[in-house]
Amino acid sequence: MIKSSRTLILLGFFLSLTFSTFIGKIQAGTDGINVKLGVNGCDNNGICEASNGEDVNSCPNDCTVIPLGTGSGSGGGGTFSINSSNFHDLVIDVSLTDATIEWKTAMPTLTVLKWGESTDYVSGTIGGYFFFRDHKAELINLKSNTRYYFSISGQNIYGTIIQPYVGTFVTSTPPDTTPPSKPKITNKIISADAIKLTWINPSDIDFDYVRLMRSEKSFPKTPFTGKLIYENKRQYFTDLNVTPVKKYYYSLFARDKTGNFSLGAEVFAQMEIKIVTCDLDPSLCADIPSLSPQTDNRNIPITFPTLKSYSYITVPSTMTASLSMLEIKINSFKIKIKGIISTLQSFFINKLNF
Amino acid sequence: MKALHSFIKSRNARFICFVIIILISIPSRSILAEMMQSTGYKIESDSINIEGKNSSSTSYILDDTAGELSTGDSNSTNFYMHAGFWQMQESYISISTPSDLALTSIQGLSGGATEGTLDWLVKTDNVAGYTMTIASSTTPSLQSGSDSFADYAPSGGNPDYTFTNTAANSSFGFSPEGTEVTQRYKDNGSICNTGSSEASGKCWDGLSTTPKTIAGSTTSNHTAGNTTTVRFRAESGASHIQTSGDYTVSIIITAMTL
Repeated sequence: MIKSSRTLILLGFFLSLTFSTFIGKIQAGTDGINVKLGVNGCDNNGICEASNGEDVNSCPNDCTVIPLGTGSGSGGGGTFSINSSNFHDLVIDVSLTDATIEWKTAMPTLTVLKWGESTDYVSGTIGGYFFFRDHKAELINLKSNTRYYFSISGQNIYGTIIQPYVGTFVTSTPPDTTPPSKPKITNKIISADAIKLTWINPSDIDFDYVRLMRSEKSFPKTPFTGKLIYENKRQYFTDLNVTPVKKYYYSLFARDKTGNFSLGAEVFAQMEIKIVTCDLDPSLCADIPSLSPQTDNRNIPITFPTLKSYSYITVPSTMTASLSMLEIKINSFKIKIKGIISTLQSFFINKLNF
Repeated sequence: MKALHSFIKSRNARFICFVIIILISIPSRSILAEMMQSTGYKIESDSINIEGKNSSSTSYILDDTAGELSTGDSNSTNFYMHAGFWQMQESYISISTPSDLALTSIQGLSGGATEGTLDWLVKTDNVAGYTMTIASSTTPSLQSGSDSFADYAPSGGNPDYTFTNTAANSSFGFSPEGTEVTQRYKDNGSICNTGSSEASGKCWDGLSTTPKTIAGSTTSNHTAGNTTTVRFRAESGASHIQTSGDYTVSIIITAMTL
């Protein structure tokens, strides 16, 4: 009985011991408290809202109407602001250097049209001499691709001054005949099996794409001579369809959105056979299988050990000064090894180069 | 007497004595656990117990002790008791939640400026104090569906004493105000991050999604807490066309104990 009580006492004692943990920094925060701001003004919603301060100058997208007439060339167009109920049925026909504006008034009105390249309307004034309901004004000798502002004021037969129209239009843009600048070829990288060209496209705002032509005879003089090998906006191209030793002539033309081509940026490239000597970088030849030393140091019959991507031969170190010019025949191919042959001990040849 | 002598020599007697000694020692632990301090340091609380260890994994750190008697939180109508070593380490921090701020509308065509403030009340009994940061949820911060205000960019590394927006641009910035703003937003009357003044509407900075510390303290501000006011300003230049619409920025305020 006493022993049992002792156990209970010990158990109760240890149960009374507690185990506690502590968690470090705590934080409190607010997320999603919004600061809101309403901005009144040009909302480009297609409605000219004078109450928001919109007018043809501050919000031309809204305070305009599409002209019924269109001029020749491209890029032109007329726009109107209609803020007077006394004028209606405005029609504008814009060309390269001319514009014809027609409008109507509810009652016979004597009108005056002013226009200019700003809201000062200082370029010209046309005033009517008779009271009409239908009005027409022809503006000539305008600048092409230029925004003009105009104002039509009037006084009807009762002497009432009519709130003026104000509007704007843009004369047409002359046809683009200016070619873009030619691309700038920045680099050519000739590897074992490819020729990579990199260039910088011209910065002309109407630049569209480049056209890369290739020839094996001479530089293509037009974007339609030679062989088309790339056409898009990228600024590099890797020509994989090449053969070693052959010389390739590349001409790169830039085209703008109108269709004008630049002069060609020219560059040629020729595949080369690379020979890597082991004495300069032994790590390159770590996997080269050894062949039996050859005794003939002038005409060494060599066969490829394997026909893998790279095949290797080893030239014995005994071939020293006498190998000032070594020609190795491999099947029907020939390789001429030039260089400091006295230090040449081994090399590898990319079979794709043959 | 002989019977007493016999009882003392018995095993039961020795066990009872052991328990008594343990129980007698408990008050002495309380005495040892009182706050101690020297000239340079203060030990807020300590514990004598039978085991303790600091453990950690990649994501968590665990500090534990075992052996204290009768620990835990308890409360009554008028009191809240944190009994035990770790319970004593508990601190709290709270922050108020203001309502959204609707700035006065401005004209997007002719330009204009508008300002408004939001208040956050932070309370903490953490003796080491707290730090308060501000961030926005988007970049740029104040934006509508089709346009935005540029986040205010001070001319140098410090906030600009005066909000500056060129005529051709629009921008949105903030300026914290209060007695516990950080040094970065204090000024000497003309330059920020210098001096100890805290002028209203001065020292402007830009919001970003990266939190910026705007206020804090190194002591408890219990029980009254401290209010930090953040002034927001949006401005559109006279020659800048700000597309009309409803612009919104979501503000993230975080207060953390040190």
